Amino acid sequence: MPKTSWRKPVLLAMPAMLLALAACSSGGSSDSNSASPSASPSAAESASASASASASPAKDPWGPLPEKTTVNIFKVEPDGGPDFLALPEGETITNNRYIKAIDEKFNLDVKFPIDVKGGAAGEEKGNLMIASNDITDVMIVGYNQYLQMIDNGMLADLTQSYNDYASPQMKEVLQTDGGKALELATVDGKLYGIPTMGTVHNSDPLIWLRKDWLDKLGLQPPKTVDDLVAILKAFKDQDPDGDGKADTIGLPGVDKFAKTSADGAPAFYGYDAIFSAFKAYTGTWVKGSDGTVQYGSIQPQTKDALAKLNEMYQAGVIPKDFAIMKNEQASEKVASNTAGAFFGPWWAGWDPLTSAIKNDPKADWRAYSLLDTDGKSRSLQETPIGSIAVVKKGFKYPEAMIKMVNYGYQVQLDDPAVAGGDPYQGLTMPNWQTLPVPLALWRADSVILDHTGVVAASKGEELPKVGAATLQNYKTQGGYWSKGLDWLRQNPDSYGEPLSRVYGVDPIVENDTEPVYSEYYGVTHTMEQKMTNLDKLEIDSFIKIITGEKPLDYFDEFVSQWKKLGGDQITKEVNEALEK
Amino acid sequence: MVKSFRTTDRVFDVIIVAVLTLLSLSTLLPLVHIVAESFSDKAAVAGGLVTFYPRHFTLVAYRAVMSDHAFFRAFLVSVERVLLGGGLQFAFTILTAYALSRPTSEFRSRNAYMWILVFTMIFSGGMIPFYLTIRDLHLLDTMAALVLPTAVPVFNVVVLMNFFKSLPKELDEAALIDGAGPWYRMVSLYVPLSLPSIATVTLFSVVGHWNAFFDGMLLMNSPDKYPLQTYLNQIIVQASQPQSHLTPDQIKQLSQLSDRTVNSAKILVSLVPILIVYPFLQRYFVTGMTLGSVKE
Amino acid sequence: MRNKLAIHYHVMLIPAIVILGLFSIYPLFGLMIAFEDFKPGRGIWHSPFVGWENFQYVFMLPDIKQIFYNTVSIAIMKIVFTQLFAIVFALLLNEVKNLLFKKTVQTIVYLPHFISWVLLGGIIINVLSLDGIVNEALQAIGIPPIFFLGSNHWFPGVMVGTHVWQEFGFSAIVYLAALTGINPSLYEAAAIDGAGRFKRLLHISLPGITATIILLLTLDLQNVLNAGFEQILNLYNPMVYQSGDIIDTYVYRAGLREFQYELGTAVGLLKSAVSFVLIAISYFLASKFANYRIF
Repeated sequence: MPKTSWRKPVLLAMPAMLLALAACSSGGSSDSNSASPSASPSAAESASASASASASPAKDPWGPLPEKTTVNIFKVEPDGGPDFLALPEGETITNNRYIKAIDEKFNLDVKFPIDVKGGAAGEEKGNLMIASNDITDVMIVGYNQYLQMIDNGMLADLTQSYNDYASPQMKEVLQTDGGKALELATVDGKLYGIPTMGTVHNSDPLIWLRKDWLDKLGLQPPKTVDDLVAILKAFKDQDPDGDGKADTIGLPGVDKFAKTSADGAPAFYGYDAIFSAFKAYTGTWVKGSDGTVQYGSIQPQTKDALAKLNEMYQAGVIPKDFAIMKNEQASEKVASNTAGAFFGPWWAGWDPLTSAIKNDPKADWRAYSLLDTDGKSRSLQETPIGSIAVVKKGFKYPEAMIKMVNYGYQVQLDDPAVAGGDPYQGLTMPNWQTLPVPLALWRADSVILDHTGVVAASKGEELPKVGAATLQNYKTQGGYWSKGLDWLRQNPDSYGEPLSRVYGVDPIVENDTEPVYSEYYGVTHTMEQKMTNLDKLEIDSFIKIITGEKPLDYFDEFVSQWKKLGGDQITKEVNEALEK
Repeated sequence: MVKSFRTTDRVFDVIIVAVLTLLSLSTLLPLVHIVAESFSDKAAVAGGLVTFYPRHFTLVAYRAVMSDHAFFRAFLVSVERVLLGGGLQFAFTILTAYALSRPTSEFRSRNAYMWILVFTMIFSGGMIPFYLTIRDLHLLDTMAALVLPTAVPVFNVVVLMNFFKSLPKELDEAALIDGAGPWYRMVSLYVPLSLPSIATVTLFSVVGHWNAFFDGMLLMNSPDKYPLQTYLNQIIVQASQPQSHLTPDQIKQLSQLSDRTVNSAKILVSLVPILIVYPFLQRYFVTGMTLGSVKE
Repeated sequence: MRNKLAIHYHVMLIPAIVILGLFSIYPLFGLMIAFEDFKPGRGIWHSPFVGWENFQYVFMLPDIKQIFYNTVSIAIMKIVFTQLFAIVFALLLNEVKNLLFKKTVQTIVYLPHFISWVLLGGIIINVLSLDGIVNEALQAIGIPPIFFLGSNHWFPGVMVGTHVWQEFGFSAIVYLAALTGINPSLYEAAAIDGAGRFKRLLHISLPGITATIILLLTLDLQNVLNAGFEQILNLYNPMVYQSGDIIDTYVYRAGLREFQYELGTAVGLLKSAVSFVLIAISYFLASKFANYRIF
């Protein structure tokens, strides 16, 4: 059913109950395509191990479809070679035991008529399929694509199917982010897909520092931005590597140095931690003092942060060409130990620090959090919704997709028993991305959970209750960690993971970092047309202020420009959308 | 040949050689850098320590390329594409160029055809309609989708047509008197006399097909059918993908992937066919590139 | 007799007409998107028609003037400097007597023309970054490092420079061809009159290719809206959008990455229309003043 040109916005403020309510209200009226007879939703919850498929109220998350059904799936193969998939000889990403098991279990003949290699290509091909209204029965899409497809009436309403057929385990894991992803996926009270969640704290920007340089220069770890600036000046000027040459720098930088509306927060080398330290959240919808929602980039706190960044730029602790650096170039600075400090997420241990430690085994890398003007650690979170599995409108059995995701979730949970037997018994389990519908359903709280697990394993304490493979990994990494830093630095190929999981998460746990979310993740009509240019204006103005090409008060001019060129209209639309 | 022994001329010679050598070096050095990277140790490259000669010489990158089946499959797809696509372009360029090289006195509709060709060179419906067209012709996912749409390269047609036009009219008239038909004249008179130009446009065809990457991504429905540049684009572009929203698995995977030495080696291996074919045909350029004819 | 011949020519053109008809002309129906509020769900034929609204919006876009200016200024600078370098290079190379040296130089300088911008882009970013080879060389002679790819002041120049670097050799081919056409007896006569090599270059070679120079500049008129899509796509970044965003990069972003099909198509159509006029102009100029037919 095609709608008007307005894209219906998504509400964050939606009460958690809404999903259930929507399910009730839409149960009778819509879903004319769904073959499933209407029955009481509660029957689904208890279904799991029902043996006979023929006794069919047919609400069994694990039961077969009533007839043999072909399902066409758009496949986006992950970047990376075949080794990464860990499939046994003779099996491929499009022909393996998972796919056979799906057939046996659910009566589903999986076909991949369109198969693309690589995420970037996958996105463009997906856009093309949407633009030509030629989508497959089941697809995994991004959030923008998802909204676009709903707007064009291409997707089946899954509200009822989700309530009836999603396994209790899947429903539980989709609550580990507080239900945020499901809320965002619900448009006008209807759920059109199964979302993946943003992992909480996954991209919190930490300041990674060489502890051995701090010690050598007699410095304390930083708490505030000013502490950090002092450290960076010392790292740049006081020859921390002791080679008698002025060859070290302050911070590396990268072109995407701040979050914009289009891009997520920069995981590596960005300066969003500086912004957060002033309680400025760029590219984000924040609650203003008057209760309305305002754009973070134009708030006075942003001006304060820019003033500080300009000061850092003048002091030479930010590279002159930060705004054209690519990630790879910034990584070089760390890998070559030219930089002894950088902003990065908890998982920086893998890369670039594994390269850095290979080039200088004396390095002692640690992560710290910066506190903001309230003395608290707060971090802007990645978008709480990732990719979304959807079903084409008119496909006879929309629950087929949900059943495949049920199965996939069990595989990822290392608990194939629930799904009725592990097809890879006796073999190494292949990568989850070889599943027919590879939706990454990790627990959203896995950063902290895994940290706890590895630390516990290293001390021989009791481990959290998780699946077998995860448990094994806790033991392995905990084992490495218990051998001590010196051993890890001598064995750089084992260094990255334990360092990330322990030192990388420590500051988040110690400072009890508070996750910050945007008030709004949708796209309004005017946003669709003008946001690109506004983002451009924003980044342009920020760069000019940081580099001193324009004085700090240019910020006020930027704000009035931003408002005039569509910003005011967008703000109005966002508030209207949130009021509904 | 007049030889001059004057010193100003000698100075002039030295300057010329110096300038030309500098220009050549400016072209060559960046490539040397890539060669050096491909033979260097991964960590040295990541640390930015490699300039024009390899650091910690190693063949690891080339061994990785040699054992990469996807790379070789893509290489073969490209070879097939070049042979088929180049062949089609060869035949159609000659046919089209010959017909259009005829004077309007002999072929009145010639100008109308010519403007149609020029029109198609400038106007395009855009990517989505093109995709829909290929789909409706049931060519998606076939080699034909890569070679048919470009089978009449208008620029090459113009170059060859102008060469045909520049051949002396007398030949043509002599043949006409002998009673030779237009097909016979084209094949046995014009083509043999135009070898430099045909070699030049053929090189353009080969290189064009070898370097094309976008249509592979657009029109192929499985990675087995990607041509080499599509494959290369995928491995090079992915390195600069935004790094948020990664699962721990993807993180591990990315750290294994960011291997510039292997990428450098792949770039070089993919340049090899051009480096082989190109110098061989390059000597025809000066006589073969005729962008138009001045009527005297 | 003539009609009979013409039939053969029509037959020869069948492949071209079929191929271009199917793959170039038929897809032009997609240009309708420029006049629609395009809804993929309804398809190109059934989306609501909005007339010139998209074009009006294009002209209201704050950046559109800048984008047109960038496109035209970068393209014109590329044309002028590429031809200048090509002419000087051709004149110098023409003076070289050592065949081996001549061939080697030619082989090397034509090469970049055949390497795709995906690969060249990576190489250039590497060489021109602040700690790249070029800046290290500049520092060695006492010039402070220059922020080539990140300053709106330098970026257009770098686009022109790298384009010249890639193309000057190849563009020189036409001039080399023209130089071989100069009657050798002119040089001999001049040498007997006591003219040195440089003088001969100035007074015989250069005038000998003046017609070609004027001609090529006329032909390049059609390129003033082509500022180099692949090159800029591979080298630009948010810092230099102001000076580096061109029509083609805008169309690409709008059309395939941001779901703004209508704007992308409208801008693309505008560009095609202007290009077509320019080609017609250069065709008639060349034909009228140089008695020359491009096609």
